[in-house]
Amino acid sequence: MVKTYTEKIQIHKSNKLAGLYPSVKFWVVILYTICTFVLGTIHLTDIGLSLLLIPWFLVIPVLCIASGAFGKCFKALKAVALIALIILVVQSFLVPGGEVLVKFGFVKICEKGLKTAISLSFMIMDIAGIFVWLFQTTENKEIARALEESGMNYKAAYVFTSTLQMIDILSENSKTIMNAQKARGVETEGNMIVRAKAFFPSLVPLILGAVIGSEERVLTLEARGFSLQGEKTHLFNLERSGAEKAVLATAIVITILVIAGRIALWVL
Amino acid sequence: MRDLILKDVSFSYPGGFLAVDQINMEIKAGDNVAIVGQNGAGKTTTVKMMNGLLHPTKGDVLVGDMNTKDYTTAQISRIVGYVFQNPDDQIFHATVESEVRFGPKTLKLSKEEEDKRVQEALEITGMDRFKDENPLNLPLSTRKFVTIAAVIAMGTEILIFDEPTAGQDVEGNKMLSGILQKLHEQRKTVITISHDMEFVASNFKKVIVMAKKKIVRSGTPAEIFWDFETLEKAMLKQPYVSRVCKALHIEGNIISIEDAIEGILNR
Amino acid sequence: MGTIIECKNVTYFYPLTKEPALKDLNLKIEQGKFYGVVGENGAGKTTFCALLRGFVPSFYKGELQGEVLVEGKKTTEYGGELSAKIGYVFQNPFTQISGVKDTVFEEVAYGLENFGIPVEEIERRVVEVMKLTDIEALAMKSPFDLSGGQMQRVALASVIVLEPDILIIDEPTSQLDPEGTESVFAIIKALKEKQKTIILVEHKIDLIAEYADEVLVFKGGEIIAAGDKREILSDMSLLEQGAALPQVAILGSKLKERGLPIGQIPVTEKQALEVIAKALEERKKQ
Repeated sequence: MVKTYTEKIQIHKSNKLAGLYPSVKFWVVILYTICTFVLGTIHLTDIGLSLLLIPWFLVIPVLCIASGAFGKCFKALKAVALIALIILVVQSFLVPGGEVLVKFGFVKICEKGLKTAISLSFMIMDIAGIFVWLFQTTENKEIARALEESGMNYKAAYVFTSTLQMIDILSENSKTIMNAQKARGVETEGNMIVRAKAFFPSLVPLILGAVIGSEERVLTLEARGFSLQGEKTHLFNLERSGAEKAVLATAIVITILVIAGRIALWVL
Repeated sequence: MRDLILKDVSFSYPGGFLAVDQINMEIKAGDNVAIVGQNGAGKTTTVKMMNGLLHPTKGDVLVGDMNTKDYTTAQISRIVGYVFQNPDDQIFHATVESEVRFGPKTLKLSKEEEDKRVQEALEITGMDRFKDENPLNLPLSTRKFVTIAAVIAMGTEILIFDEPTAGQDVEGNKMLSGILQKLHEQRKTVITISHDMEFVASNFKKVIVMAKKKIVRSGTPAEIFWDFETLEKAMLKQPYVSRVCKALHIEGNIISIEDAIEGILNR
Repeated sequence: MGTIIECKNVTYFYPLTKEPALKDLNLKIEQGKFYGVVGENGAGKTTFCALLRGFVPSFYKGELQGEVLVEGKKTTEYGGELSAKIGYVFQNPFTQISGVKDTVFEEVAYGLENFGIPVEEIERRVVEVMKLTDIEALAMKSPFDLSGGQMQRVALASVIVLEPDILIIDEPTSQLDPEGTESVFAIIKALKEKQKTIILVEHKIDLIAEYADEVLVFKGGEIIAAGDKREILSDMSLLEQGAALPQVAILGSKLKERGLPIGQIPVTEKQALEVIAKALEERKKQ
């Protein structure tokens, strides 16, 4: 039998982790984040570095691989790692205080600098990493549907979903606008000053274009019953992969263990 | 004055999509040329190569003795002006006059020369009556003339228009014809993409027909609009008066109402 | 046929303006007819559309004098139900994409979801409309991945699927190429055959001449001419009012001036051929 379009637009995932119900994934993200903060308070070595945050990051690649989405996640993780690295370096050298650990000529790394550098950069790696996993294994429309189901106002849900889609569109538009400005003599390539000069001519039309478009979009949505009260139909339905309970239980257990461990360290 | 030459030019978008396939074109200084053809025929890609917005993946585009490959678009913009289809892609000033002045300002001209160019451009396009208005308070079809003025004020010797008649009313079309006429009198080279066959028939001396990424034929409007093989290849229609004359078997490759009247009365 | 929309002494001012955008409008729109709305830019055509749909004054605010009745009830008294009665399509295909759906199929279905129509019925109606608008081949594509002409067809489909009796279509082809324009007109023609009431703003006057029944000519916020298309579009005095007239009408009228025995001035190509051929025959006899 030929598939109906309603069947075609459903998302079926064979991977049990990737196919988790979005709200369960969201809970995993929250619990992981809680653990990150808790682990961040455990200071090791003589100078009290939050070293546990480093192995804790390994959870992310493991999750991504187990979800069958490592390829997709890798690029985003690389970007996250780069930002974390910059923070690590900058913080290490800039924050003074405590004993001087290393000294190259006039730059030096102090105890306090290294401490904040490690905890801040790995905290960012961990938390950004878990969000990468969430967004790379979940499609926009799953998130949108989950938001609506969670009882979020349909207007707020619309804003959220359309923003996700609009990012791509805006970057397309900004290319067109850059071209239009280049064609009337605005240099857009070159050093920082040149680029800074091109900023206004490129940004203003982009924003104005979005604003001009929004009036018509409001009316079109209105014409299609956007603000109608009453029960709406949903063609797209979320599926459960079956592993929800097990995953949630595991996450909760790990969180409890982490918290218990933290408390135990205090007590001992 | 520079000629514009496309030599064995092909263009593929990143990802491999071929948009223009080995075309040759020679546009003499002072020519006024219309490029016609369906969407996807390669018209916009072709004109975007004329000011360096795109560089040919094969072949060369020469503006006079400049190969566009060696210059940035901003540099070429002093010689080749380009009016985009959507005016909202470029407008960012709070008054019509400052929008028009923006281009000449980047050229670092003397104050008198700058004022003169801005004033002239505002007059040619009929925008001087709106010069203190905020462009965003003007209707889209009028905003288009603001961007035309902005490009004319650059004083380039070559001008490209992409679909200038889209969304224009009778008055707007008349104003466009007037602008093209004046640019021609100033011996500027004008290259226009258009879907409006009536507009092309009455405003251009030369027509280049593109279809399926290639040039099918170029010639005078009278030649093109009575070459049925070319029209069919490019899926174009004759202007209405030509269609009536054809059905009435009136000779003479007629493309204007005036000629059609004489033709019909003398039959 | 009955009156479906009626404007009674309507004058309208946008907020903070002293000049009315619409002046002394009195007219009846009859059910099942196709109205072409023409006139120069800034003449009030788009405001007129917004008025019939009730966006004036509910969305644009401003001051409305007189009243607009849709099926006998004032537009100001309707709530959301007007969207089921009147479909509205804009000039810019891009702004009419909802921005929350991944596929053309879901985009077209969006309105029906909001109306709470059962899933099976949505599927059936969307497929039917996609066939009518010739977009079924695009069903699984992203609505943003389309050409202007295709997007405009999706916008039309998204409105037609709600099965409104009245369609207001504001310059749907001004940003499209000839192929896109033709595909949009093919849809409008199909809607006319379904007895829908159509109000179309369009600059391409030759297409209005071909498809419309009645023509309304706007200038300075007023309707300066209204009536049967052949009568209106052959009135050469309208050229001085900034209105466009078909090429063949201008040709016919000039031939008549030059003494060719032309009866009624033609407005379509087909009429032109008949009329001119007949006139040439007659001249031969004289």
